[in-house]
Amino acid sequence: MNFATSDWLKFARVSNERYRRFARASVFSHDRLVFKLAQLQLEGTHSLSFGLAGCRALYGEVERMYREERKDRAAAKTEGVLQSVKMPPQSAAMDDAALTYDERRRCLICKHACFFSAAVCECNPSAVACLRHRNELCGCDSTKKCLILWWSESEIKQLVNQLARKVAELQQLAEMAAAAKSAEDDEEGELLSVGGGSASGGGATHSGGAAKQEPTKA
Amino acid sequence: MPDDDERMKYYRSSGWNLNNIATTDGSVLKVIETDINGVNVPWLYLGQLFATFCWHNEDNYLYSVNYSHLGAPKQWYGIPGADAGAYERVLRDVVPERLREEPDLIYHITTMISPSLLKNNDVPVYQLVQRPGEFIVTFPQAYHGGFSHGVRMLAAGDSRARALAILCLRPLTLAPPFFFLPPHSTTAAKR
Repeated sequence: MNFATSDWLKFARVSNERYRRFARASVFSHDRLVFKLAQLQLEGTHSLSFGLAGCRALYGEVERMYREERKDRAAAKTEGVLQSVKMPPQSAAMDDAALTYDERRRCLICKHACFFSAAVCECNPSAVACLRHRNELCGCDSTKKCLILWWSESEIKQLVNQLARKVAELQQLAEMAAAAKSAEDDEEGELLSVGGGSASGGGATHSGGAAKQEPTKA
Repeated sequence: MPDDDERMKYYRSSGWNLNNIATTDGSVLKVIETDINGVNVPWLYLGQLFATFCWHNEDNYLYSVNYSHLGAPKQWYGIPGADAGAYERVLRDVVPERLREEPDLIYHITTMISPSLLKNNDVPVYQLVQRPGEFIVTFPQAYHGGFSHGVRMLAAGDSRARALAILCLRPLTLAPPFFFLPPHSTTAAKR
């Protein structure tokens, strides 16, 4: 029986890369999970809101996926893959239908569930390859191949940017909370050394208010 | 009895009920809205004396949790996730021919290497004994394996959990007086 906390994300990446090296199918799509979790971070506070460290880890992974997609799509084009088909807007939900769909688009070479894009060739309409393995799909010329794009570069980029803003926001909050905390500690230290009874009460209220106020502003 | 009703209500909703843990608040697997056997749907295991679970780490390097319902203790050996590479190096040394036949052997959960052999090769191995009513939590990428001390029943997401205890792996102080002989391991057999 498994579970995962947000600190598991760094392992998710490593294990997925290893699965691909061994051509072993993961039980769920790594890309889909990361993408879905990233979307959830933008939806306001709920039980899967990660906080700074988790959002940073997610950002790192979504940004890596974006860079890889961009690089591979451009490379395929340079190699002579001239056609691409953009599929209608997708959902990143992880329901039964989605996981069944992912089963049908596993890379022929590394068994990766092609979530963002895949390469196909007119020589075999049922086989797909991830963009990493586009040239190992078959021996045909690049011009016979076509890219299927489930997510456009701009759709992915939008999420990357939104998540970057979210991370910056959380970072700012954390810094302000830390500053408020250290101001409060300083003040408390001063008051303790002076030993003023009524002034101590006033000081605590004041710094407490500041700590509460500043994060809400951001 | 109202007391029993309360208790059942608690077990039904508790995150420690293995039926719930994958989707409890804070678990990333909550986003998976479908059942994946063994990942977010618990299994019930039965064990007999020396029934062995060979070295493995979890699918996708996930955390795992295991609960012993009743029966004999279960012996666990664990290797920290950070030392997974050290374990795999020893595996390559011990069963090179098996790895040539099956490069993805690490995923087969069919090969047991003696903890003392691993320790002699500088792989940190920790051990513990799980008794009924106790939970075991394994961490990402941490290899684990072990065997049963006798007939026992484990791991279901059954809702009768009473004792809640997380055990930490403690250092292996006593090297076990036996070791496993994988049918295909010549190195282990020589020892």
